[in-house]
Amino acid sequence: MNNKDFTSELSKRLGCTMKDTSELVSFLINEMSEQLQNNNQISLQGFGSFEVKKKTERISVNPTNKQRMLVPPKLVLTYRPSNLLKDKFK
Amino acid sequence: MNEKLNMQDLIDLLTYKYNIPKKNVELFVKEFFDLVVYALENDKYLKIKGFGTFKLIDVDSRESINVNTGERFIIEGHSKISFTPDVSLKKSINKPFAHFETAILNDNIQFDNVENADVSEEVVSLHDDDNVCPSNEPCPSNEPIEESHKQDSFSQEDGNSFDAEVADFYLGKDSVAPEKHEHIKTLSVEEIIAQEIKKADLEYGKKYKSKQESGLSVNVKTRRAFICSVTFIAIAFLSYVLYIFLNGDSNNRLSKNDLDSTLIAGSVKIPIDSGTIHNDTVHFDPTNKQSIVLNNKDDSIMKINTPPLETVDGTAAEFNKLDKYTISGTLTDYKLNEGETLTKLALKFYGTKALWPYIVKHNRSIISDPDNVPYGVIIKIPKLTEK
Repeated sequence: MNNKDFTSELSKRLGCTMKDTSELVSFLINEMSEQLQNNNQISLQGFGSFEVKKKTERISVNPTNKQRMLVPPKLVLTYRPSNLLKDKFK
Repeated sequence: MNEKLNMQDLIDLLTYKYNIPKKNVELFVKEFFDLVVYALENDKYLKIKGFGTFKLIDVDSRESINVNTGERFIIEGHSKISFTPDVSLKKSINKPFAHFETAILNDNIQFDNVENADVSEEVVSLHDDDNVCPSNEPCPSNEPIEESHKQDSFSQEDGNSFDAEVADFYLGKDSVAPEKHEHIKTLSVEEIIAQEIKKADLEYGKKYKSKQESGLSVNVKTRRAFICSVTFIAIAFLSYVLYIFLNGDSNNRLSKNDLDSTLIAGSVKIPIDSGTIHNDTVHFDPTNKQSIVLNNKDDSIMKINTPPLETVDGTAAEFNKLDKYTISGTLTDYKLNEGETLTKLALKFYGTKALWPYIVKHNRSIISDPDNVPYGVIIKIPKLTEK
C-alpha cells in the first residue's frame, strides 16, 4: 500500500476529504519527527515505540581492498513493535 | 528531552499546536495507527511519505538449542515488522551528527613505513660492516675510478692494500672539499648548506668506519685527526652560514619548518652531486641520510638559536601561561639595546622567558612584529600581578 492508497483509505474511514486527511497526516508526522529530534521517545499502546538511538563510531574494513574506514557516530530512528502486534503477525 | 510520550501526549500536542478539536485528533490518530496495522495485514507493505516504510518480513524456521536443558528445538518460521525511516526523516534525526564524514584510516600504512625505515637503517649499518671486509668486491673495483676522477694525486696509491685505499679515499674526498668551497660560494646559500651537510654526512660515515678499522697504520690515524679538524671547521662554517642566512633574511620569522624544508630540499641534491661516492663507500640510503640530516640540522639550530627562532618555537607553550597574570600599569621604560630580545627582557625583569608575550601585549602600538623589534626602541615594561 503506498502513500496515496493510505490517505484515501484513511479519509474513507474518517469521513473527511482527501485534502484534509493528507494535511492531518503531515501534521502528525511533523509532530512526531519533531519530538523524535528532541530525543523523546514515542510509545503507542498496541502499536509499538519509536525511539532515536545513538550508534557509536566504528571501524569497517572493505573486504576487497582491505581499506579501513572510520564510520562516524550517528543517530538512528528505531521502531520496536509491541508484543501484541508481534504476536498478531507471527 | 528524553521524555516518553504516549498517544495521549501526542494528541494533546497536536490539538494545542494546530487548533483542531481534540475529538477529531483523537479519532484521527487512532485510525492512523489502526490503518497501519490493517495495511500491513493485507499488503505486508506500507509506505508513508515523509515518515518511512513498514514491511512484514518473513523469517525462515530455524533450529535452536534450549539454553537450560540443552534440547534442540525448532523456531517456527514467522514474519516480523520492519520499519525503515524515510531519507528525509533519517537526515533530520541525524542532524546533530550530520557534519561527521566517513574517513579512510591510513594508520596501518604509516606504521608500516616507519617500520621499514628502521629496518633499512639497520640494513645500511650491516652494509657498512660488509664494506670494511676485504672480501667485498665492488668497493675496490669502483673506488679507483672514483678517486682518479676526484683527485689525480691520490691515484698513485691505488695499488695499496684495501684498507689503505679506503682511508685514501676519505682523504681524497676531504681535500676535494676546499675546492668545492670556491665553486659553491657563487651558489645559493641553500646549496652551501646542503654541501656542508653532505660533508658532515660523509664524515659521519667515516667515523663509523674508522672505529672498525682500528688496525690501520699510524698514517691513517694522523689522517683521521685531519678529518676531525676538517669536520669541526665544516660544522663551524655551516653554523656561521646558517646564522648569516637567518639574520640577513628580511623575513626573520622563518619558521623551523621552512628551514627543514630548505635543508631537506638541499640534501636531496646530494645523491646527484656525489652519488657515486655514496654508492661506493657508505651505501647511504635516502631515508637514512635524511635522519642524519635531521640530526645535523638540529645541532646547528641549537648552536645558532637565534631569538626569532626561539620565539616561534615557544609561542604555543608560552601563551598558556598568559592567563596567569594581569598587567597593572607600567613598571619602567626600557630602551632596547643591540642584541637584546623580548625574551631576554622578560628574563631580566620577570626571571622567566615565558612572560615575553606580556611585553608585546603592553606595547601593541610600538611592537608591530614581536619577532622583529628594532634596536633603540623604548619599550614599556608592564607590571605583572598574579591572578
